[in-house]
Amino acid sequence: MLKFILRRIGASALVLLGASLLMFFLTINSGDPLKDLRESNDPNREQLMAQRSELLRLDDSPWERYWDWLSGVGGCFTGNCDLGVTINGVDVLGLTQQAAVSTLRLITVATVLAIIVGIALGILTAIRQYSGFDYSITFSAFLFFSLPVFWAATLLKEFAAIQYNNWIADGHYAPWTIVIVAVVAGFLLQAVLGGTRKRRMLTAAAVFAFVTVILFVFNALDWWRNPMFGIGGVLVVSAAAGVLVTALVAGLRNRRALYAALTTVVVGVVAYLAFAPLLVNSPSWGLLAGLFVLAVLVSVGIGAAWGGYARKQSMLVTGITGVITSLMVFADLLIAHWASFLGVKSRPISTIGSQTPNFTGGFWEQVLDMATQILLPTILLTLVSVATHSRYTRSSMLETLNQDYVRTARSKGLSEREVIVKHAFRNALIPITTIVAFDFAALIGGAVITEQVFGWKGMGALFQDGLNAVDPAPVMAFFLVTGVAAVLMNLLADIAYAALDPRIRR
Amino acid sequence: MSDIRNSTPGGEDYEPQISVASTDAVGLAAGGSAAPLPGEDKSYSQGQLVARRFFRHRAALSSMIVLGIIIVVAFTSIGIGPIPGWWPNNYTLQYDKIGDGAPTWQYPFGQDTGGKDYFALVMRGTQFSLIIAFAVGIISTVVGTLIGALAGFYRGWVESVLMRLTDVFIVIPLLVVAAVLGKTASGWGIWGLALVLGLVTWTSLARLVRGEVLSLRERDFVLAAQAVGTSPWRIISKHVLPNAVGVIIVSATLSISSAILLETSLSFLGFGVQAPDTSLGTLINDYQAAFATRPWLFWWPGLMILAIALCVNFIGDGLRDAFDPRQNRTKD
Amino acid sequence: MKIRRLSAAVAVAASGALLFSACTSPAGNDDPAEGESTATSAAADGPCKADLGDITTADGEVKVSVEDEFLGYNTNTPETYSTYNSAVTDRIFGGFYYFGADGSICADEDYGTYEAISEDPLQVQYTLNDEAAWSDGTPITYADYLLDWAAQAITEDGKVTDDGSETPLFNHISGLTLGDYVPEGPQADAPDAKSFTYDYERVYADWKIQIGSAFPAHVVAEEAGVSTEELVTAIQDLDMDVLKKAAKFWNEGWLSQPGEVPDPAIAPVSGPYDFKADGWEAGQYITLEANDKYWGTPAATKELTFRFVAADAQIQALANGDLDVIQPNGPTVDTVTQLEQLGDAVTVDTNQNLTWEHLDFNFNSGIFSDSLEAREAFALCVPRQKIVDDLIKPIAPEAVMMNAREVFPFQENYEATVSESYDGRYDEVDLEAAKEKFAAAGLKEGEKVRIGYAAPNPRRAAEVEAIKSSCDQVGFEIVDSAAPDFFDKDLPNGDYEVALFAWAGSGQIASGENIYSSTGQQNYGGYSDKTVDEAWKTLASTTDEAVHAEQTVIIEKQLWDTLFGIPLFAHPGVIASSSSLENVRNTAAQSGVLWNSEQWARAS
Repeated sequence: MLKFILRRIGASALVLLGASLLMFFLTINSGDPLKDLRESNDPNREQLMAQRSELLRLDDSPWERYWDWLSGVGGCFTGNCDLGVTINGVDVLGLTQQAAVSTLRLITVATVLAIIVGIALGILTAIRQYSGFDYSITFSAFLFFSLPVFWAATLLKEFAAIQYNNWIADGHYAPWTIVIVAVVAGFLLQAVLGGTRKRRMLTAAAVFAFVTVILFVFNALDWWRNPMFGIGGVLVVSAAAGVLVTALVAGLRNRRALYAALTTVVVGVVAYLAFAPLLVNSPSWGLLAGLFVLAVLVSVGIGAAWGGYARKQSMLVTGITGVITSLMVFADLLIAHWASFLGVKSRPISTIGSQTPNFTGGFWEQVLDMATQILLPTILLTLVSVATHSRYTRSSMLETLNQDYVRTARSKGLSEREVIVKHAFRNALIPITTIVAFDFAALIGGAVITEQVFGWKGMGALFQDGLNAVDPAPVMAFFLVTGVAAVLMNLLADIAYAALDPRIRR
Repeated sequence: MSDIRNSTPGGEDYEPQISVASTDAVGLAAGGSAAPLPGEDKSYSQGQLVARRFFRHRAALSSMIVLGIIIVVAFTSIGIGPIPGWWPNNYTLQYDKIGDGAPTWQYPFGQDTGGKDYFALVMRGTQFSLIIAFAVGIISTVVGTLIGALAGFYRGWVESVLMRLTDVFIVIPLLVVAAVLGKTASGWGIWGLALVLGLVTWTSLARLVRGEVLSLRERDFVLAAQAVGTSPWRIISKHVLPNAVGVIIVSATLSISSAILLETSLSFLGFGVQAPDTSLGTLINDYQAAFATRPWLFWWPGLMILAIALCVNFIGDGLRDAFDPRQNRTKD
Repeated sequence: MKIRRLSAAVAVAASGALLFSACTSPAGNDDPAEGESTATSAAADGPCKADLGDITTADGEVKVSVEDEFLGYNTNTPETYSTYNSAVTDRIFGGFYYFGADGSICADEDYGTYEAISEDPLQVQYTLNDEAAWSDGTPITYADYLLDWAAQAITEDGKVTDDGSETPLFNHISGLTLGDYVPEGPQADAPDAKSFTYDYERVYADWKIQIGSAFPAHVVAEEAGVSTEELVTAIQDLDMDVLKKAAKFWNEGWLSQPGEVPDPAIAPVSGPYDFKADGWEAGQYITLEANDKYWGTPAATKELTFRFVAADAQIQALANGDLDVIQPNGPTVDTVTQLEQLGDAVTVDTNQNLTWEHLDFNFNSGIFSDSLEAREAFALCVPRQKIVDDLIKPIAPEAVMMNAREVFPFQENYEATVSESYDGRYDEVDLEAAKEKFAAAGLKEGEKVRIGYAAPNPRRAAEVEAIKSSCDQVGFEIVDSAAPDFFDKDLPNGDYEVALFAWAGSGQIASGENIYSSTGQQNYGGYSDKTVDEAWKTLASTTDEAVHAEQTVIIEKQLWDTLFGIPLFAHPGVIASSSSLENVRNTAAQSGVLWNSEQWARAS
């Protein structure tokens, strides 16, 4: 395996080198960097052209310029990176760092969400092939896939930002809104859960009743402006998640796994109580990260302790449960600070920017500010990727569900959960891995329009401005980041192939 | 993962009744909920079987009809090249504007800012988008499948060279290649554009197909075919690719819809389709700000793109089912 | 991409700085800019900033959109010179003049005064306000303006420029043109004098916009390791040891890495606003705060935040309160409708600005080159009114067909100029008359006319379609020959019959000489007419405004009679602001809506 990985890394380096050469030559030949000056008749036009030629080294041969760029990049390995300067005389290295941080923040969340939602939808549509649910997901997938990003952005800004902000000023649902929301929720859930007609009706009715009551209660409590979740909320939701994770991964009959998951939840909540003063009074990202790592370690430990004959399975269950419990704790803290956040920022969801200019507020308010700013672009990027992920997962699942070994597994009397999770899904993952890896790199480039419509200046702006000005330094910096990401992700995909299908590894 | 089979039957969430596509195999058994194909006992050629299965797929069939109508209307209404169409208005001419250009009986799709007939314009855009979408879809699918299949099947240096080539294309942003090549290609007209776009969009499919082939070639039936000395070409075309048809078709349908959008961004950059010609993506792009104010300018091309994309997808679904010998549908 | 802005710095450029603003907005600002003559006297409330009486700075923040990142304190290097950068730096530097709402020249008397004390030879005296001082307390003096001159006069090998063509010592956007006109440099009694005089070597019609703001000489001196007096002496004696150090700092010391606010020690300000500590987030926004050391009328609102937002996102950001003032680049018919749909919360103001669209004939080759009748036939079938009605009026209701080239419809002297130079013969389409001229020119049915412009540009595409719909009936066959590289290839190669583009006015009087005179560098079509050449010569060699007006009429009339081209309309502009803001005012000048931003205030 190690040899395989090393060989792939070596090949990847060569690919990057070749691609960078091609990219460099494509970029410098994509236009005339002196265009605006040629069209000018400033008396000092010649001077300006000479000045820019010197800045961009236009008089040197392309090979010399490429070599220069390459040795600048080579410097990164010895600690003195030099990615050149832009046509505006700005150092590209600093620009790239800022842009990469901004863009990676944007797309990491979107990618993770898209993978989870996309694969889940793909599996559901595959096992409910040709149901109303399948058709509506297919329809939406193609809707989001084939209509331009700006259109979805306009709608999102109108409804999720402007209208929401108007509404949150008061924060109460009208009764008929509640009814509509409840009906829609009931309809959607019965379509997803499926079953006999009677069972569907029951599901719909239960969901309708539940949503109606909850929303009326929220209205009465002025919940949307002063929300609270509390220890109880964390406990209930985490426990439910624990049961669900157990059911999916190990099956509820595996009592040890179930108990391990529930223990994890209880330990998590107790730890929350213990750390609450620290989290409220002196929070920091370091503290959060530390506690998160601790939580995962402890959860996995609990799984190992409970494990028994299926220890690894239990550890997986408790690990996932631990992560979910941590997220719930984090959510509880954010929810608790929502009211004070509204006090600082009365229109919480912005349509532009990665942060509110000159925002003042405590740590949790700042986290909320970042979250509300990142919300809309994340939804948008997720929607587009979900469309592709769900289509590929669906097709891949359909393929594997018809394989002989799946039929064998069924005829053996294995539960449907096991058939799908262990046999069908695992094999369906091969093409999905490819597309996820491919998509991540494409997303960085594809974020160009999203960044633009939401006023984030990131990698996309770097690339676009550079290409427009025929300025190779920022374009190549963009390439370095996306290229390395693409190569890395493809490497991971290859390793994942090898792990998923040992026969491939040679 | 644990190797110990956990032999517990499924939880209540997973009832066996959802095993939709698994009730019977290859077409041997006619039991279960699927109506038996009439005359199942007769022998059909592979092509006939595929066609029969396809035409039983209701969504695919209706999509085929809708797409057919779109194609026929798009090409006959305003004509193509020297052949005139039946629609009275010309897409290059401005007419007197009625009101703010909202749809009327005379101009059913409305008029644009300068007073051009929007129906004629949308039809022209549809022609161009269809040509580009299908040309790109076909080129990228053929190239991608070929490269992926060769790489996955032969392995060794063939794979190394082909996949590293793919990687090079993957890491270079599409926009740069398209912008540079597009400058040259904008002079070649629409077919040149389609060719260029097709030649830079095959990469994901190549990787997908290779992945599929990698796992398929180790399957028993391929090994068996190799053992009896079947030629590699025949193994790839008869044994390997039909089994990878699912991903290929999804990829082709997605690449057809994304080709429309890719052409849009190129037109926006000034390479791509040039005025007075137009494409659906260009129309949407030009009128994105009209979305809230003159909705017809935005919705007609938008609906056309969506209709084409959905039709292509459902046809793809139907084809996939039709090609997959194991697949047997139980519901419509 | 940056739109390059014409201000004093570039206006210096002799008889017309031409700049192509190279923005790719669909409505098309890919246009050459031209120095443009402007009206000088003010209307009832005047084109200059209103006098709002006593103002005290109120707490609060106004958020305004600019479309690109801030680049640095020194906005006069070729790398940093752009409209977007000037939008910020114009707030932090005071200057002797600014452009008013209709593009006319206004003096900023808080900063100082200037007058021509002799017309021929031209001699201009500048006097700074006694209180005028940098925000670090150092008075603004002659030394600052001497350095400003040095940056535009001294060559790499330590001489004052001879003809402006040498390699300059300083990396200044305007090169050495100031030194070319004023080789002696500004003259004063002492380095800290508040009054100084420029002696022009030859008469210069645009002297009023020659000298504007300056950079702090005391900072440069300190960085070069000398006192301000020593720097002054060094410039006067051309002491290259000191000057080289000074130039190095001038060229590099004031550039910023995005997100790093310039150090107040090296970046003192002379305007109503100053940088706010930690107020710059790369790629997001930069915040200025009121300069409490400012001696003149203080800023009305304490904080001014520039958010870097593309035009597409601005309207919804305004609706959501993320922005208070927007000026979307390349507004379309839908921009205005969308803004109006926002109701009372938003105030919308439309106008026409100093960029004007026109059709120019190719006189070097093709059917129009030697046939006035052919040009007349074409001019008679171009539906100018329809183009304005369909494409421009929905954006700016006050828009009219433009019938002149050197004056704009919203300027005071427009009526007078047009009534003497043009009789309205091409106001309406006259297909019959066009057909007669077509026949008289000996043209055959189906004569191809390529109209070239820089693609993509939906509005110009629509204009060409309108022309096609009309002119094809006369016998022409109009061909839309748009290309992304129209200005690079087709225009210089002459591969067009008619060019469709726009000039952006800069406030200069004599810059049209470059376009219409036989030897002008911007005379792409190769037009040549003796009357026009002479009129420009007369106009450029005097500072007398009466002569300017008189010659302009001669030029306009001759351009109409010989049909140089066909002016179409002045580009429409749209600004919108939150209704809670007062004093937001539109302007035709390129400085944009920000021009009076220090007056913006929240209604109390």
